[in-house]
Amino acid sequence: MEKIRIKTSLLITSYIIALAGFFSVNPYIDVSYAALFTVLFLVGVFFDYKNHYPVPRFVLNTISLSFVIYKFITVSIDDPIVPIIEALVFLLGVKLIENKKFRDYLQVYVISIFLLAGSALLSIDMIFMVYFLVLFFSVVIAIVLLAFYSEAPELAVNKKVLIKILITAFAIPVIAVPFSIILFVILPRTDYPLFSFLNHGIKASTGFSDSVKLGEVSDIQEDETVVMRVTMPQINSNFLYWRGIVLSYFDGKEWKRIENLEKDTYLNGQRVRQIVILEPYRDKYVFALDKPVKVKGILGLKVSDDFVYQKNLPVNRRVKYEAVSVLTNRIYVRGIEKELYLQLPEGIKEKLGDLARRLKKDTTIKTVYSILNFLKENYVYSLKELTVSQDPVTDFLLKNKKGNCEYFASAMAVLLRLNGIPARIVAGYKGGIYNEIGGYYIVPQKNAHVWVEAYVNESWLRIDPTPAPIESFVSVKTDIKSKVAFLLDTLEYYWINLVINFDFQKQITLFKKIKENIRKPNVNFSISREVIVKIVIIGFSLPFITLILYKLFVNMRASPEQKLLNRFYKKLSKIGYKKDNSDGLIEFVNKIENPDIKRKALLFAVYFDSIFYKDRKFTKNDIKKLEEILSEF
Amino acid sequence: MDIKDRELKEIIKTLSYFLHGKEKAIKLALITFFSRGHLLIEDLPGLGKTTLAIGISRILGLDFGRIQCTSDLLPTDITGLSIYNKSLEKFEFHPGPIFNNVVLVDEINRATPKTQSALLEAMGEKQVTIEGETYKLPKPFFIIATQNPVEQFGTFPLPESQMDRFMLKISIGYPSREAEREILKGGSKREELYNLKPIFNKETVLKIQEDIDRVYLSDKIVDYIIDIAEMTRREKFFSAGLSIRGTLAIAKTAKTNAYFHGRDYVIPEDIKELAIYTIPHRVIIKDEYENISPEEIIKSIIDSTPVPA
Repeated sequence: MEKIRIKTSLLITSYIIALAGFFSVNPYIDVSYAALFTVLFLVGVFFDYKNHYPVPRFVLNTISLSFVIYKFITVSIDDPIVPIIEALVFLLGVKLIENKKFRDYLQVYVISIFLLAGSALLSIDMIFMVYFLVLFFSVVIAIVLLAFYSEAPELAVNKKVLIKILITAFAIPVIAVPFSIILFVILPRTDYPLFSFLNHGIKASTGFSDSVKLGEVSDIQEDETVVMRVTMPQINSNFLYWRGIVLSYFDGKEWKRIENLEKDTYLNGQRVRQIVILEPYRDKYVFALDKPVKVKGILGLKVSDDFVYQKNLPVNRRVKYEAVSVLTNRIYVRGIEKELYLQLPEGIKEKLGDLARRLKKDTTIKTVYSILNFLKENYVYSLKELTVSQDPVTDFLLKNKKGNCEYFASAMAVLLRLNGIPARIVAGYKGGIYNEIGGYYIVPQKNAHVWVEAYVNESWLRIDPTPAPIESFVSVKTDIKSKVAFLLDTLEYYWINLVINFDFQKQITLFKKIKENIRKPNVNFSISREVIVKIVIIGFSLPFITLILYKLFVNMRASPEQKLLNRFYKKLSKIGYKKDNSDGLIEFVNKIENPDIKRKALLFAVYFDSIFYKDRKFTKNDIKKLEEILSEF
Repeated sequence: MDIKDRELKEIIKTLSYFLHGKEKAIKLALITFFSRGHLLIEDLPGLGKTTLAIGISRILGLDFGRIQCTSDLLPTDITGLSIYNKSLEKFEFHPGPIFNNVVLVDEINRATPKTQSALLEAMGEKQVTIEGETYKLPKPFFIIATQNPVEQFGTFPLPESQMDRFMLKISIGYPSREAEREILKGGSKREELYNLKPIFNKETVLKIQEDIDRVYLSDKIVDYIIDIAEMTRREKFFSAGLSIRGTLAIAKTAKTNAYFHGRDYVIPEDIKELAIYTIPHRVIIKDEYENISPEEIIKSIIDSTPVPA
């Protein structure tokens, strides 16, 4: 039976999406853009058909960027919609001629959706519904296909299987629409996690809170909702501590925050920049990688000496901010107010004094590790059957011996303080799942975590006594289902990032302005300006199209292997070896005198011959390998 | 495919102990053998042709026959004949020396054309017909024929059209000074040669020949061979260029050469390396250019034919 490549169906679906987006705005945009898009679309289809992309990505990116900048500069505040749509049409066209990867596919979908949304701003026509349905179904189908494609790019299935996949993909929105309408009506819409730990005594779920209370609930449920998404490069998961709040006063059941001045802190480590999108929650602290030194993008942010960042109001809607953190587990600070960090609730010394004394060693640092090891070895991490009592730390340490991070951290801090070592509690999140498609960390509520900072050798040292395995904080499934979930989350992320403006006020004013402008006919758009715009567009696109045509005619002929071979010859001719037309590759290489170059060149020649003269197709892998050999010259 | 190029190298090494400094000739002979072709050695006597033939037959575990050609040699002296057996009261076939795996036909140009053509027919058909009965020749079957280029008196040099039946034409040539010194010091090694331990046996040899048939020949290489053939056909010095049999021989030997290099696909080098042994004896040079050696022309043709990559 005939096999159909997943990639082919994915491409076709993507074309449909792009065309639906384009046609929805076609009547409103300038004809030059429509023509430009048509050319780019056809060229893109041709490239996909040939599976050869002669225009390098950076060229496209530069063109897109300069175009967007140009549009941004020339856009009139009076009528921003059409120019923005035109820019999007252009970007969509450029995306189509790229060698498409995940992000590019997703960007194609997102831009198409934007275009449709844009068309809704310009007219209220029934045709909108048609484009909407086409986009709606094709995007879901495309995402399902994309999930397959991401698993195995070269996958080919026979017709029956493909039809089955398509029907399933088609069924998802069909089933989802009525169901989501029901959910939409039934469920009260809320910005907060529904079950907030500590607010409601009986049922509790994991999550961050501004104080750490012990001994009230016995079971905690894991809450999978996302608390933040952080755009940053992937780092070693051992550094994934998201600092929120520092607590220093313990009354026996609850840790509270008392602010303190600590001047002359000093950090030493790698700096990491993050863009954080924080979901609404009921408190006013913002999170960043441990230890954040700079947080930008939030008005009225209060910074404390213990690297805690606090808004003046609770985070009751999504916020986006930029943070810079220094990856280290130490804060060097000379001189702290020791009494504050040695405070203990009444009566605890009598109960736990013996235990603390037993763990004391001859130096501070040894004592710290002695306590840490004692906790890790003798106590069990659990979210069930937690200690419920009036003196939770004592009961946890002496009786129950089971607990979550809050118990471990509290016990650690208390034992440290009993030994005269200043200690404090830090609450935040740990770990996160890296979404490679979107390039960001997803941190769910269940990753809420509490750890300890101990003052050792004039520095606050991060200590995490909780024996939960790191995998439980960073684990990620790789089956198709999770892949789809990831892709959907990526879409949501783009949606949040690009569509939802973080300043709603601005959005509303903009919207008002648009409405006003649409109502009054715009006549002061002078002819000369229109001509200039057109000239600039043509000026922009002409060299671009010429470049494409040139590449098409000159480079299309040269297959990737031929290009590689040309590079090989070029490299060798630079050191004085010119290949005669009648020389065989190996024969030519054998003429080289330098044994080192000869050895490498021979490697290339033999590998190349073994594919070329066996009439095998040069796979991406082969090309990559040959390039690697070539780059070693 | 399990390429036995290491064993083949071992064979060449062993044989070169008996034929000092003649690895090239040994390799070419083996390539001819494994290509199921026949070898023509054009050389003066006493340069090791017999040693080569015996060596190959011994080391490959095959049997060996020798035909010394003279002007009174009859076809039946080669093929064998039926003799009446009185006691059985019927004719009995007595196979001639050609019924061996490796046959050395010494000074083929001394035999009469009639005998020559009988021999060449046997080479081509790999069978002989005597008095209506057809007898298959053994497999593998390999003829090394020699021709003395200097003595012309009373000889019948092979006509060009017959030369085409030999896959390769080589000459062994004089040994180098060092090699000859070694030969002189070492004395005759004939006894040792006869006691040579075979590295292969008949089955392995046939298996290798089959494997060589499966060596991959790309269309690019086929085009390259045709390019070369067309060049020889258009060449102004030649009155006749490469025949189809010639291009077939080029392809066949190229496959074997690739196999000898441990490859299961042919590259242009395989063809280029053998061109001056596979082509010159198949082209006919025009009378007016008789003093130009065909080897030189072939070399220039090869050097002006572009390779596929």
